[in-house]
Amino acid sequence: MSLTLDAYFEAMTRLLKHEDTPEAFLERVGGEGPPGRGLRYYQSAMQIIPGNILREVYGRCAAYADRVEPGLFDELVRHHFQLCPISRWQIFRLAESFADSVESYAAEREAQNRPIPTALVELVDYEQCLWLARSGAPAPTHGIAAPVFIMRRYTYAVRDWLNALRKDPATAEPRAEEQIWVIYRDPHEERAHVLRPTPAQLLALAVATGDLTDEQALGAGLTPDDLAAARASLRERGLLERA
Amino acid sequence: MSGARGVGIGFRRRFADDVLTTDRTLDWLEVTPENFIGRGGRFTAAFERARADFDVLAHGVSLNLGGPDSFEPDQIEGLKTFLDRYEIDSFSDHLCFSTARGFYSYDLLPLPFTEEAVTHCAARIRELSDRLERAVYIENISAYTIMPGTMDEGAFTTAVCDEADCGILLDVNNIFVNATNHGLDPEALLRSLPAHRAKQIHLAGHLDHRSGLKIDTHGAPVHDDVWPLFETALGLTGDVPVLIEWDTDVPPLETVLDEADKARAIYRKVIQDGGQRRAG
Repeated sequence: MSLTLDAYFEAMTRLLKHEDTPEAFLERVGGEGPPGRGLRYYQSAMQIIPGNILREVYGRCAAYADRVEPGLFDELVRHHFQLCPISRWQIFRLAESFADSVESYAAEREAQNRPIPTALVELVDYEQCLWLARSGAPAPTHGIAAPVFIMRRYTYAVRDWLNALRKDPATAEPRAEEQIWVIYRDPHEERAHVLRPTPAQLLALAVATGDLTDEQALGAGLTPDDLAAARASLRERGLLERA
Repeated sequence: MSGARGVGIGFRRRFADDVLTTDRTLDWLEVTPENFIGRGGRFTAAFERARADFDVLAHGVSLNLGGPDSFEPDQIEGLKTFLDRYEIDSFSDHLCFSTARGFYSYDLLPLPFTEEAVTHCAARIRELSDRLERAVYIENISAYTIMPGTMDEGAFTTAVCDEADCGILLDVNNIFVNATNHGLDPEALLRSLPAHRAKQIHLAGHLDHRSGLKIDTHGAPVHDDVWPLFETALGLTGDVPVLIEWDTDVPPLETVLDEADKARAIYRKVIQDGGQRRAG
């Protein structure tokens, strides 16, 4: 009996999902002899390829996670693909939503009284924001000139920590410190940048996005000059439209 | 028609800005559309600038030409928009499958060499060509096992190209890898492929895996044993654009251009000094 394409794809899918052994695969497709190295290689590649994509984007997080607990990053990857099964032709989209998956994993571990560091959860989120600012699709925000604009409040100094980890992967976990960061893409140079906004810049951004009126911003203790200066600095950085 | 001739390199993030300023010879660029569709930022901006200076060919990795699932509408639309926008008049992808029944492997997986697979692949290539409104050609892949079938790789690939009436992107490293992994003679395997239909040649490095297999990683210099095979291939194909692929562990531009220079020396010897004409 000759092998049909339908039967072949069924058998290959089962092999690649580890639902069948290489021996069972050969039985299904009618191959002869013992299974070669190639079938095992294809099976192993199914786990390695997606993990490598995430390690490429979240390299510093991976190194830190495995320092916290050997094998933790692989566990985070498995959890991510359970929550977000691979369903897109664009391989880079595997890296999307990873921060949400890590947050969900952290909640599970907390419930089991086996917490993972909050600093790791925040580091993953910060790396995801940087990755989106660097290469994500433009996602316009009302009132903001930057094609990618993300604002985050962290409880650890993740930016300095990430920079330190780039130089020395053994850098210790940072001190707890509440920080607000804007992660964005410069509309002119198309580069990713970060800004730790001043209170005046935060109010100016809130006015730009329509979350506050000028009057509300001025009522928060700013002078008109403060607001104008904050706007000018944000224009200079490419966050607001240049006049 | 694309004016790509000579030896090009893949456009990679690591040296995206450097290709615009290098003083060294660089004949053309190859781009992977999947790296740009639905994305943005500095890399995309750098490609837009590079496109103004270089001839560009497009090579995909995820069209799943031999797979059972329908082409994904957003993928085809995104790809066509990309090719139209950057005025790229042809497209190539691999003679393989990567997705089956919604299972995405992100790998280039072998097909069984059967008549049914020939008919299936040829129909898919014609459909893709119609939908993209441009020529589509196919690359021979590295396969780490030979699936049960009724013909060999050369006969299968020739039959697909004949039935689809399409060109082939002849990957010389893949020929070497397959021949070595499966105990075949590399030159015999090369000569069994439809070189007269070649539109382009790929050269890349491979890895000697701990399993004993040669794995096509595109992460190393071209192997010494592949260069003579390339010279033979070029003699068979005539004047087609040649690409140095380096996609993993990407080195500085200078290193990739060193490889391109080696390929160009052979290209000049065979095509210019040898009087070979461009393949039809």
